[in-house]
Amino acid sequence: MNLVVSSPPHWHKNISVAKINAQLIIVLLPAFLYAIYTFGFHAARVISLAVVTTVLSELIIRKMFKKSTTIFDGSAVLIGLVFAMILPPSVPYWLVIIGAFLCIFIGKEIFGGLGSSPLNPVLVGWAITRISWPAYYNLDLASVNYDLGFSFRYPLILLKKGGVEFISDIKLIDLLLGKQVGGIGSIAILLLLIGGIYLLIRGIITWEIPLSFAAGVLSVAAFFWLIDSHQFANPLFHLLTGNLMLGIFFLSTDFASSPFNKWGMIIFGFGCGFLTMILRIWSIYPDGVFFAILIMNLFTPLLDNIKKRPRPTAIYYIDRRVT
Amino acid sequence: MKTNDHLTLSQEDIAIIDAPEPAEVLIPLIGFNSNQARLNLRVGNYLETGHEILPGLYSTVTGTIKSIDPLMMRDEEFSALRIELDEKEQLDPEIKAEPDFLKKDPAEILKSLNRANLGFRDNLEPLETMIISAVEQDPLSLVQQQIWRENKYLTLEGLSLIKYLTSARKVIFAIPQNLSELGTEIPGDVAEVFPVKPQYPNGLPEILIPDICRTGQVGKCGFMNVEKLTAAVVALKEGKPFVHKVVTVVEKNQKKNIRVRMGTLVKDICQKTGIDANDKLILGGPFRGYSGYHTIIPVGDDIDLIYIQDSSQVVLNENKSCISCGKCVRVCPVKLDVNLICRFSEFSMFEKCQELDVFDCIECGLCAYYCPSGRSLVQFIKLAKSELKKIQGETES
Repeated sequence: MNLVVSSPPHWHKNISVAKINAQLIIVLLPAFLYAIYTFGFHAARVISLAVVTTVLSELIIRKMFKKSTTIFDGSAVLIGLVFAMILPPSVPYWLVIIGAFLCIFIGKEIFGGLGSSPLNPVLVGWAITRISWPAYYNLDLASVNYDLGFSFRYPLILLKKGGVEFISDIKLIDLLLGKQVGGIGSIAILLLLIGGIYLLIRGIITWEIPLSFAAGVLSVAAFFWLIDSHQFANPLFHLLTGNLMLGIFFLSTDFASSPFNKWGMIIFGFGCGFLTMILRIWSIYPDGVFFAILIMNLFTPLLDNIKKRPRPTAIYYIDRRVT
Repeated sequence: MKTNDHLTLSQEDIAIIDAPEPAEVLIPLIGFNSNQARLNLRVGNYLETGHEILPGLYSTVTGTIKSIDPLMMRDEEFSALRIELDEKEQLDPEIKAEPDFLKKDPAEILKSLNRANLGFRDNLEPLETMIISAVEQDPLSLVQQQIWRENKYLTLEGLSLIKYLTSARKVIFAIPQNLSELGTEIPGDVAEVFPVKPQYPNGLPEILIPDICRTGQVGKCGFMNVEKLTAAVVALKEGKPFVHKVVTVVEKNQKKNIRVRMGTLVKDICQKTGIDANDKLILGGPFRGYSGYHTIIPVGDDIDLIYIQDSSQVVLNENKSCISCGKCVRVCPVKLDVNLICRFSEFSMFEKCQELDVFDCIECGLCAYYCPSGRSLVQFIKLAKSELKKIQGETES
């Protein structure tokens, strides 16, 4: 009789990497539909191009490296989706392909695939293309041919160029409902917020990074706002503009590039929020979310070294045979 | 079995029934080598129940030795006595009852308890706290709380016995939360009742003791379960040695509690519904149990559960690479950095594992249970521990 033998435990929670990624993708879908509703065909073009490129490049690269096929765990699709969501709708097709390929190749595969990337793969592709071809990332120019009944000036560029007076007529509720210009998927603030909260409830991501990220942004913004509310914008304005919501829930919480222990996560998240505000206020870039996350990714190995004292577990049986 | 209540400890009330006596039993000679056994024992020797076969090893049945066989159990090889049972049971005359045990000298009581196959330490150090647990150590098993439910009076007597025996300052009786109504029946001067949330791994002694004791006193805490406690009282009052073990048997879709003779083979217990090919036989809990590749394994006093996992429920995990989600770190009850330990262990960097306190791991199995990549984390930890022990042994010698 052949009995199955294995090392304990003999049960496993019915969860896998593919299931986690599937939930993340499902949560992103409403924002993706809103993007198609807002930007029409162009959004669908960019998203499908990005996803196809990431999946195909992962397939080919793994074949070339003589490794097992991993496209079915959904991480390539997720990277493609998130990458498309931070691009402007009018970006040319070759830039999407190059960016998506770099996400997979430099961001993920050369470090050994899923789980080994020191930086967020999406942001690696984004950073390279953003610095190489800055003109295509100009969000004001990107949406010049649209007329959807709301202001088509990128709020953060307005703030950077003109100060608080320029954004005084922007209502916070419009920002929340997605009536603003930005990346394809990053404008659906409310949908991303709902999705993020769903992920928190389901336990896919943990509360530490999103909460401390938001706390970092709000506290630094509030600090400057309280000093001079004529020169610096309302903290809530900062929270609801740009790519912040996408960054809080979907980019900074990337498993491989963020710390795994509680206090490391809290420091990481707060650092992201702090750097975001510093970059928004003083850097030449209107939105600092992605660079902040990339910089904090570099601190992850350091934060992983935070050592906890293990819980004491000494035992003294009065039973001789057990010990 | 639903996925979400995997971790909840059993709370049903399933009465314990006596199993029929087996035709033959195996008594493993754990701690003795086969030469020692051959010098003292002959095939054909007649043994009474409670007879001291070898120092500290007692016969659990009355019968004759048929053969001395090799036995593979828990990945180790032992010699074992195959004993054919006699129809009439006879107690060894050396075992005596001591009904008024609270008036005797503790050392003497300890001696007669050890004579009755209870296997206590020979000299108990003075203890700060003594913990008696009626909480199940693993999900699915239903032994300790059921024994308490059915033997409330014996338990009470046992609590006062153990207080007298160990001269502990405090005796604490740990019970599952769902039975706290029963706990009110225990008078405060006998023992303090400590309700425990019925969830794995709260019942494990490694977790229970630090939960109850203050830090710094963990080392002065004794631990014992209700089954041993009631067996001790029975041994003293009636002069019966500890030869029966209660086990929960979970087969396919049924669950039962039976009282079997120690040494009974798993083969004889699971005869009726049977084990099919590609099933998994798990001795001990689903989280810490040992899976045997044959059914000729005797039931010892350390097994609370015999679990036959159907082939459709057997988990087949592929050991994929870690995605650094940190779930294992979050669920670890000892707060170890499991992911780092296992990565170091995977690439044979065992010294690094020791820096990360790998020896504090209690192998509860929660990390591997939750791992989305299906990594065999506990196996990596066990590997690191055994390799480190080897290295330490080499440097010492």
